Amino acid sequence: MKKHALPIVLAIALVASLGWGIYQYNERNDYHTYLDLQYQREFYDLIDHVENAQVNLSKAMASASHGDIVKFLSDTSRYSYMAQEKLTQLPFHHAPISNIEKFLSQLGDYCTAMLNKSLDGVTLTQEELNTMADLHSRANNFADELVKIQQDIVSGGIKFGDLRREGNRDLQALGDQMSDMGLINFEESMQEYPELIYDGPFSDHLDEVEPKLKGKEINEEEAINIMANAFDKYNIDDIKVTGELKNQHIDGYYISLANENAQDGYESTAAVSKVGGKIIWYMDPILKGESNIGREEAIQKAEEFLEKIGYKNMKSTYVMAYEGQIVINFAYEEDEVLVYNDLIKVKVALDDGDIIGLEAQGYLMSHHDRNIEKPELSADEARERLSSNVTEESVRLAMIPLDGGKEILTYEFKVKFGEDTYLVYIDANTGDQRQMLLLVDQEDGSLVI
Amino acid sequence: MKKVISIILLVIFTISIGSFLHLENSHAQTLAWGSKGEDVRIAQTKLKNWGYLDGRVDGTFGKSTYDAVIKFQKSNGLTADGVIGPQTRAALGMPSNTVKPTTPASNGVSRSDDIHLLARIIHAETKGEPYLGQVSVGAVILNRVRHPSFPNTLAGVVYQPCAFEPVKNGAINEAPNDSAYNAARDALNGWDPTGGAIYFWNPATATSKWIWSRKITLEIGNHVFAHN
Repeated sequence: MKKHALPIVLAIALVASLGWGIYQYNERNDYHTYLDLQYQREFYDLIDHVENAQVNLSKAMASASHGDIVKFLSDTSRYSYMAQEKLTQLPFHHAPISNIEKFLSQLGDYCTAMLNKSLDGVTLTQEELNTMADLHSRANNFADELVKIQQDIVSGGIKFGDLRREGNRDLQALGDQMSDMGLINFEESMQEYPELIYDGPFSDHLDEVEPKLKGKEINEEEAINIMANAFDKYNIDDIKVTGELKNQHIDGYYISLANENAQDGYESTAAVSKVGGKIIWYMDPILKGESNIGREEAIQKAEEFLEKIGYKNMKSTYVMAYEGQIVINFAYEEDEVLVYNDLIKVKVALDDGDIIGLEAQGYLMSHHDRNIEKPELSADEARERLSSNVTEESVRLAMIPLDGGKEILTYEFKVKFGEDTYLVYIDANTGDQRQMLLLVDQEDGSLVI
Repeated sequence: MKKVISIILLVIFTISIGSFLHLENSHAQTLAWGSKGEDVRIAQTKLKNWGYLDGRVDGTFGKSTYDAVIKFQKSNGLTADGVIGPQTRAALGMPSNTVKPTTPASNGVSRSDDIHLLARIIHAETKGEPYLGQVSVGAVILNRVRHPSFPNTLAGVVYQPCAFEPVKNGAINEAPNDSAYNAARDALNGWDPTGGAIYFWNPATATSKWIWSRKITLEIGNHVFAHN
């Protein structure tokens, strides 16, 4: 009996592990199928959305009244954003589909820009209609390609679950599979697609904005001196230029500043612009927990610091406090007009009032002599454009940025509606509502205007 | 510069296309040339009774109503703009039936959730990196949200299939440390040491041929960065 014990135990173990293996295998297949079907569902949705975007765009082009155009363009942009979202959830690598993603984003964005024009009662120009016709034919081609792929999927040629596995293992294999899928062809045709310039956040011209910052070019030594003058706590020997920022909106020098945390990789870092020698940003990654000074005092410290490094007429607009630190937003003020584009953020440590962060890219990109003209409308006339549902708390003139990179003069009304506070921006020349912001109450953030 | 108004970072903005299209459907809204409906009829009746309106009471805000409103505004010391806004409405004695929502529009969901997710991906992607590298990775992810070739939400970018190794192997679920939170906050508050980069990779481990065809603009810690 004893000599059979081992074989019996082994046989039981074998059966058990076989059972376990089969269970695992089935489980894996279930997951695989589930994933594959989820992806298939997304793919069907993708086709649907692209087709709907395409059809609605054609209807918009064939419509006469502003109302109809707005309706169809709004559907087009909704469907193209949904298509973009579905596409980015499918298991494709970024490289083969990045132009398609961009196309879908810009299609939605362009239609939104045209829709806003129609809402203002402006008739679309011939050029804009031509762009829409071009976008339409591309959307049409894309839908055709997708339908072909769908047929492959139905006939069992493609499994998304496999695509994901292959993709992770070997990009080349994925590339082959993608070109089998026809997507590559469409992606290639998208490479010649022209730059789109319009008033929207994805417009191509926004990549090429030139900074308004002017001044003489500085060398490395001057950059180090600029940092040493701004921050007394560093010795000049602690400050080093570690590299150059190139091909950016504002080129400059990377600077590292040794502090007490330096050996752990948490040294302070900064960038100083080559032109004009301004600090673009500065970060001291010190972690502090104590709060010994109040908000007012922190704002005052930040104001003093800004004056010291050459910024005048900066007004604090918004603060956010975290454990032991506070971030204060400043906007430039010109003749009682708040210019939100000229934005600087200062971070202050709440234990000793030390300046531990600065971010001035917004100011350096957009600040210039504006000579803001007197608005056409008075505050009273603008107030007439508010809804009578809201209660006004305050009003001031403010220059705000629009999606396409332009800026406009507005009346900023702080209003209450129910329990919520809103900022309503009424165009100071036309009386149109340009922007509306809802203030989300959070313990750590508050408006200080 | 694509930065959407970052002055008021906790704020959600809403575009009020809907209300523009349905001007006539609700009380207490501004009436102007082209408005139609019951409110216009009420205003016309009042203007007619007081002798300002020459035309018919037809419920459509046209030229005769516009002229009547201007006349009414002038003789009552209001801004004569031909638009029935809150003050003119009150002067006309029209009901400014105000809707008051009883619950706040938002419970502050917007940013605190973003911070946790961003801190997790920063933590998972930048173990052993200097602070500068942590903020830079956060900034790249936020730059992607604003870029047309990537998803338009933070979760969309972070969880995009095949995009980040820690999302594939589950490291994203680890709890981030204080430094990652600090870096996530700085990135969300607009600090961008990369100046708008949308790619980063580790030269020691990146296997993709395509990624090497990008033009490297910057090197921080173990990562290199590229703008397009």
